[in-house]
Amino acid sequence: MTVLVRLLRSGLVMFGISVLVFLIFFATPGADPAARLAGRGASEEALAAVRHEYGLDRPLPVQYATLMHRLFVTRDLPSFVNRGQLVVPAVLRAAPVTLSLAAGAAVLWLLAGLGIGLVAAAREGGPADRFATALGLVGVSVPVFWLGEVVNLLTQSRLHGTWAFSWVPPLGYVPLLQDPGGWFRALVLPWTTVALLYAGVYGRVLRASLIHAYRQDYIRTARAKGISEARVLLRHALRNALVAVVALFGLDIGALIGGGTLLTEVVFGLRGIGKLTYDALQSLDLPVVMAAVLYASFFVVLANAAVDGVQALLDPRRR
Amino acid sequence: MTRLAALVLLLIAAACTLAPQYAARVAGTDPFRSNIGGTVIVDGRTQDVLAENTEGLGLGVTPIGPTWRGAYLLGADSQGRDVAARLLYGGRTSLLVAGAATVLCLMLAAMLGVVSGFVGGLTDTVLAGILDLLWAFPVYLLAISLSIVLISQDLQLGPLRIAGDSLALPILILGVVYVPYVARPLRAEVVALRGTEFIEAATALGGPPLHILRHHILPHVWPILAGFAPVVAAMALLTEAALSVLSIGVQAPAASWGTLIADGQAQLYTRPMVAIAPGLAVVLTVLALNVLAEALRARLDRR
Amino acid sequence: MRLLAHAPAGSIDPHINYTAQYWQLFAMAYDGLVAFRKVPGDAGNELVPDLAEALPAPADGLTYAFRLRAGLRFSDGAPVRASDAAASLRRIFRVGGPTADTFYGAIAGADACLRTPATCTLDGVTANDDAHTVTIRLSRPDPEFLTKLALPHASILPASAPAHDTGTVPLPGTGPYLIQSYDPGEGMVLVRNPHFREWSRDAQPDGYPDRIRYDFGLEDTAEITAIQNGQADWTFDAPPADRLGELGARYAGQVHLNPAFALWFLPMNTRLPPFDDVRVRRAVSMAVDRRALVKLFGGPRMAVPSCQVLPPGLPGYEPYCPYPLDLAAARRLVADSGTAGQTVTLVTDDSPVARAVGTYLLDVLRDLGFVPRLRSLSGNVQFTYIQNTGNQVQISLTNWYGDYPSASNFLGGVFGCAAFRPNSDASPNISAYCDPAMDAALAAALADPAGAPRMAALDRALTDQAPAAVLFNPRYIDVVSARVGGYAYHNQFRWLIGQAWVQ
Repeated sequence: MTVLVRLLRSGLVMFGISVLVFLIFFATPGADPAARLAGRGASEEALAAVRHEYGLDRPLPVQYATLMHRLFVTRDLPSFVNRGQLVVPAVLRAAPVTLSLAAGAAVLWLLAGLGIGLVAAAREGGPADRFATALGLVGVSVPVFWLGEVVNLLTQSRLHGTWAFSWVPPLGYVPLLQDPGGWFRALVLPWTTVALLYAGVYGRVLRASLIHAYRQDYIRTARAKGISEARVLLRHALRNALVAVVALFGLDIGALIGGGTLLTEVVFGLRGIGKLTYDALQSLDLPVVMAAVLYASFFVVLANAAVDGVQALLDPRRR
Repeated sequence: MTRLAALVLLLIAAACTLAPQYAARVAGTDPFRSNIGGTVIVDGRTQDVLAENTEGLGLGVTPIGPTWRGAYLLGADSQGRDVAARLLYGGRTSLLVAGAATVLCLMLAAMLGVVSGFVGGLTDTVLAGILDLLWAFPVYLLAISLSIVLISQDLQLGPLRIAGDSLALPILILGVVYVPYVARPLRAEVVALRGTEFIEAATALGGPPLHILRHHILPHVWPILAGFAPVVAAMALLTEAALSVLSIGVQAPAASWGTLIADGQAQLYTRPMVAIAPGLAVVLTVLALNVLAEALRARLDRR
Repeated sequence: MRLLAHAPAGSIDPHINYTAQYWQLFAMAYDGLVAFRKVPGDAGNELVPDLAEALPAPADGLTYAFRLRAGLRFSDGAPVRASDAAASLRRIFRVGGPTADTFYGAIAGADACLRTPATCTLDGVTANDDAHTVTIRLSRPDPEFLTKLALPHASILPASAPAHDTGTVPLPGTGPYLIQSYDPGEGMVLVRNPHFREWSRDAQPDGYPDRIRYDFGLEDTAEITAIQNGQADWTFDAPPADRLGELGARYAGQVHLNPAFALWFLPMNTRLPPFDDVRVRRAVSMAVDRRALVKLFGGPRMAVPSCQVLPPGLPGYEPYCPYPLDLAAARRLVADSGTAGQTVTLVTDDSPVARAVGTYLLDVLRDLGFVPRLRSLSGNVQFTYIQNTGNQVQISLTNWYGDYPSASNFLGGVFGCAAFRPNSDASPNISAYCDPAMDAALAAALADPAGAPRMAALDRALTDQAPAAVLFNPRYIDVVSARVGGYAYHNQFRWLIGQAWVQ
């Protein structure tokens, strides 16, 4: 598929999402932001003035075009809920938080998943395999919100005084450039929480793919050629098994960076894209939702494209 | 191991089916009615179901904890309802919704993934684009909007009319939301297979595409689907809670494992059992499902 | 000092913002011509002169003449002149303040200003900069006018303040603190006003903390943990129900329970079936077990059951409950009205307490013979949604905290004809209840200096009509950290933040 077609497709996807978001917003009764912008108890004149100021009395396509223009070109798009708050700076400020959270968690869960998957596949059918698989599934079955609250319950509240958790800083994000040590300490628990959810799945997927790959003919061929077991594993089986993992990773990381860490951010007080989106959705703040959704879909689309590229590289069958 | 898993699932399903009997005979209270002012007799002593705290300033109320007896076996929730009884009732709803959603999701994903990967070309581009759109789409926004629309009216989808409390809603939403999660890896596998020697040979030999599909592609698809089934089921079980909080599908005072966990959040510091019990139920079910799916996958993969 | 809140509360323009959360801050940053005495207890309900030298006592009830104190400055260094005061009162109308007509509509010239805010001249207000005087002429007597001048909506700002809602840009004020920065996504910072010199300890005392940080975004339960750990000093939000026990037991010294002029109630749309029938409304009030609801709210220490519109402590309050718990009688009323079997949708917000109360109320509605449904919306969407009669909301759960300590705020502010605007998101009279006779009686009672018994009678009459089922009066709870000293609670402005110190 040519790069051009890919770009076109991605652009269409993002355009489609923006239109859908816009339409959903206006189809929702009670979403009129005028009353909330004007403040509690506003008079009819005040409401009308606010509507005029925000262009809410213009036809929908004009409003859409204005929204997009203010979002991308002039970048002075205001929030529909918090008067005076500009959307684009808010999104840019929240982005590094989510990025830090997603990237750190990704490193953790990939390493863990790799370990679980290799061990489980190598000892297929044995107790280590079962244990690893079970662990993985427990991770998926646990609701992230609950897990985060329990982590807080233990580390911030019940066991905060003990030597085990007294290093845990107050909830919130510390910018990396400001205080690397603080950044790390503040993110350790959120990283672990997120990683726990994914590590198991990745371990399982890798294990399944490895076992599947082991059964293929080219493995037999490799063994017949006398290549060592370790090399068979690493060079041949793993390479093909990683195809599935990479596809999954693309989906997950794309969603996470775009704000899929929503509930984790809420629980740990990290003001990232997820929390921004969550607050905006709760108050039906269209500009922020639009900006956050487009930001998120950009990363999803980007991640998917990257995944397709990496897959082409990894899988010899595709060449 | 497989037999154990099947047994566990059977037990869970049986227990949930017997929910009304449990509620009537063992629990003794209506699990759907608030019982804020009620009392229960435990070991001869009468206790308040929701007891006012007396320590210090005497703030707040604490529901009764697990009595490990018939009534309030696992304790009461913040409305004074029997957690164990609600757990069983909740299982019915959850298993139904999650099961149906998983089946729907896997079916859709198989169709989309296989067609997209096998046919290639423009169809692939369009379908993959749809998958991208689905995955990036803010489902939560749609859910919030839907919940507000559903306050005053039922949902009208062409000729179909779906009420706000119909379980079809969460099944549909959950079934569609996770399609890209399964379809993309599936598509990747199909694309990879298409490039292998078998397929090239088969096509060269003039074999009809459907035949190739059935004999060379689908055998690789089933294991992947089987592998994803427990994962999708788990995610469906949990995401259903988020939808129920928005009154889509499961409505108060009905129960599902997801809503029980969500309600239990408010009791985490005083009565963690209210959230742990349904959570354990979800974990157990998913684990059992996985063992069975594994066995299925192994069986299918041997071909 | 570090303060927490789950969410910001809108604009920091004192002429616009109508939330208790920011009024608490405006009390420290801005002043009006008069102010509530900033002391705890009932003495805090009294008015004292603030920027003015003395409280005027108009002989004709229409002309209020104020002399401004000399030597006062805004936080940007500019002196406070009489023309600033006049401009501020005009600004209330220019920016379309939410209470421009309900609170300040009695000022002569207000009608013209309400019609065309942009060209508002407000003839009733005259200022003389040389003599330092401001005179306000009313077009009709308003016995509560001075009280309304003490509210943040009548804060005196520089005449240069822009004639629109400034949103996130702080305006200069005269109080001991100024808002240095405000980012709704992050938080707010207040610092000492360098130009503040205390002129009246009663009206506007100097504060202790040098810097106050107000952070947004943490969950309620995380806020409580932070306070317990000493990482923060106070939170605006109420503690979640499952932390109350440990707070009351182990942190009793840091918990402060105070009375509030507030109520939780179920407004019923008096123009929609089945609640257009007064029998049905009374039935709901009779079928609710208020003691059970109080338990859901946190127990008898946290709330007091109530059947009537006026909360205790207000002048004009006399205990009255015509709705003892009687489910059988309630069912008979519903049966008589012929509305049994109808579908009733209750709309609450999505906070855990509201959902818990809503879930219990489903049982009540079902027992009465209806087919009940519960819908929970997020807080700030629900609040405007239930006000708009276009949404056809039959019954909802909400609360009302008095704007100022007066019965008229409850009787008129929530159930008066002026508070009802059809198909508008801003219609505090959610019940769509309008009785002109009651409004007239209320105005008469206000004008009467000994009008308390008349208020009580109105309270009884309104409660009998049951446009809403009142549930309970919540107490206001403050949880502070161990290092906070000098906690004082004011009936109007809650915790006097500036009056406390941190070690």
